[in-house]
Amino acid sequence: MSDDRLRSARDALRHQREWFARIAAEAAAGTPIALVNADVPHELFRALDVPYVVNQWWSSVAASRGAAQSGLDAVARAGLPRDSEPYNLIGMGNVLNGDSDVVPGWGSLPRPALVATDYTGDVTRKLFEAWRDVVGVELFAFESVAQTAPVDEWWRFIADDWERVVGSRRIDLMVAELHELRAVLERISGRSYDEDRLREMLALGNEQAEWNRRTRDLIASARPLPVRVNDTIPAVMLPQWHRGTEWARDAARALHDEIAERVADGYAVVPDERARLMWIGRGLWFDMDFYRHFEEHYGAVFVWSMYLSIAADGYARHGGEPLRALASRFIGFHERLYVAPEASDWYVAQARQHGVDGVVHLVSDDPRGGWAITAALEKAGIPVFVLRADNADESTYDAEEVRAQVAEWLRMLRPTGPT
Amino acid sequence: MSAALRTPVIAVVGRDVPIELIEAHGAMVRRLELHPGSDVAEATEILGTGMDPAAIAVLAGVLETDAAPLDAIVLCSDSDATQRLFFGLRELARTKPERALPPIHLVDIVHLPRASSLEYAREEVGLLAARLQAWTGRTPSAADLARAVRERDLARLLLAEMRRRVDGATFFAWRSSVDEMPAAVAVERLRAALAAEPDPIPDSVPVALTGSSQYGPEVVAAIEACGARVVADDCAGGSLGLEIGAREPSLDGLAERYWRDGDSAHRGSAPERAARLAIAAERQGARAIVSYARRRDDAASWEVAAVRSATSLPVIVLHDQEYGGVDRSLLIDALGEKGGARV
Ligand code: SF4
Ligand code: SF4
Repeated sequence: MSDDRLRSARDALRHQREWFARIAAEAAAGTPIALVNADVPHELFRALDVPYVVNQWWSSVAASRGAAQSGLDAVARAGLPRDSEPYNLIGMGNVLNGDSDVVPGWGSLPRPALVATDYTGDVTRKLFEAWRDVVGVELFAFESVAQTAPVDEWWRFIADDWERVVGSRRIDLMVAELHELRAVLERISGRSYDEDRLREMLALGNEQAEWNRRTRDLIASARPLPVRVNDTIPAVMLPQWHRGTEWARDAARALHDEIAERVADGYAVVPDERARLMWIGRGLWFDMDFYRHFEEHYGAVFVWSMYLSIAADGYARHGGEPLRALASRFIGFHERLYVAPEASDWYVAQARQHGVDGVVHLVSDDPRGGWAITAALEKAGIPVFVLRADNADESTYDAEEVRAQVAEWLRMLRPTGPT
Repeated sequence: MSAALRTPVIAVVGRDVPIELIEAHGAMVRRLELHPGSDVAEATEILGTGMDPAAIAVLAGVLETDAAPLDAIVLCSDSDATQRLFFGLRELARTKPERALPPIHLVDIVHLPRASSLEYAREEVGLLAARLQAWTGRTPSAADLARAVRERDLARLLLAEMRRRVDGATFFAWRSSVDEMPAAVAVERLRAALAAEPDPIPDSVPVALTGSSQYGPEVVAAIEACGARVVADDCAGGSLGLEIGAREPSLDGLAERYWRDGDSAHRGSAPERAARLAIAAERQGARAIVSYARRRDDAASWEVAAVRSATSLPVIVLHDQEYGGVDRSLLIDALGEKGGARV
């Protein structure tokens, strides 16, 4: 399967390694760096020349290279719960361990001068406060306030009419916070804020979003499916962490062009494509052959990725004052991905756009629940297979049994299809 | 029945709902909290299995009982679970109008120590006032509001005094019923109770309680039945924030009070909370600290290390507990070992 991997994914990965090596060298030479959660406005860090590492990205690197356990052990030695949100904790543990936690091929996570997060949920907040109170790193926190009057079909309007869709009061709050963050970043980097620079970065981010939108639309309309969604994830996500640079915009364009080439060549993930499916939920990491199994035995392909589609629909913000536009880019992601009706309506629209025959919805033992999303899809006439699995606990997962159930459901979905 | 003919009843969930404002609008406050053991199947389906079971129980209560006598439900963002409960109810109302749920509202009080957060909280209190006006058809005068704020502050101060005088179960029973009484009635009853002779102190291990919210005496009583006496706590629904008063008895003053009152396990800073708990525990003669958390209510697990370093008292960790339950054998053993109890 390695020969059909995307060129753009390999290029993004190579760039990421070079970039991280550079950051690590700079940090070693005394440049202050930041560690930030995925939901904070990265562009302001970039505009003030404070290099940042995204917490979730580092976790995925450390976890895939065997450096997660030693990090979590360090967290536990500090008296903190290692299993309350392990995926967001690994970096903290790696920093506690310092140079002894080396991720093969990457090196160590430098100790940040600043960590930043928004205060979603109960645990993210506690976890970042532990960066401050236990690790001794400065913390910048954003409030996370709720949208109580959801806007219909947000994805159609948010790029231009963001002031209305996101809500002025929430934007006012975050802009005030961004002014405070700006002062912190100026102090740390010794640079001063330049509004034109931020404006340019926002424009590059908009271009990147536009390429992602074209890529998503291309995949949605192509028959057969030209690329495994899992292969697009690194090619979409790595450039997202460099949003606001020309490299990131060009990487998004390269991904688009590569997939367009595949479509023109008639490339198919499964030549005899018999069912188009949508996967909602986290990855089934303890049954990695699940998708391949259904491709090979049932001609069923999974055509949709939340990562590409939110990169396509969630980030563009045109016009307005740069700090307001930036704030509006980051407020409410959680609701658009996980809270009905914003999230459920979007999943329905995405299922329709991708012409799926059905949805496999992984509902795990996490606080998001999935009731409203399943209900909305079913109400829209889209068949849903609810796969219940606690993805923290492999022992409750019976791969044979789950595959048999999904296969049975597929047969009902397409009575004349796979046998 | 028109609102003018009877007293409106407004249900609340969580600790960030300014109940004074409800009272100022001439409505009764009802705290939505279900007793363990009711049928939670549908509520679990809606909210998922990854939630603090207390929120699931509240939803089960709304679904199971006839919600019609409630004029509205006001929720807040004092924890992830309360906010998710709001989203769940909102979606249920939207997709199942036949269930005739009462109107719901989220008052999203934030607590970061910044002017922008205070301003947001101020707007939220203003929006709640507008909703209450619409639901009750009443507009409180400045004097009505000032009276409600002052009386509620006084009721809380009397509760703080009560906290120092009685065992945990008695205190938590007072605490949860006082929210539902008109403040003037609460003040009168609390004064009468405080004037009476204090109960004799039972022979049990004095402990301080931290962790999950406790809106009722059940869990505290179960802990005390194991040979402990809860003499101090920093739980939501318990003595947390009782001594915080409004600096002025106005809408802005109320907003400022609730913005400041954010030191719960879910929203506060672990070392600051631990330092205060350690002082309260010492003052009240506690011999151990009990950290109690329900299953899926993870905030408390992030505070244990801070509590341990703030105090030399032994810390008994009772986490992952079933809703309403207490691991009795674990607690009894720990009290025997760490608290020097004779149980
Ligand atoms: S692909 Fe992106 S979102 Fe997914 S784990 Fe990696 S960095 Fe995180
Ligand atoms: S999920 Fe498994 S089968 Fe699918 S691409 Fe990844 S490794 Fe291959």
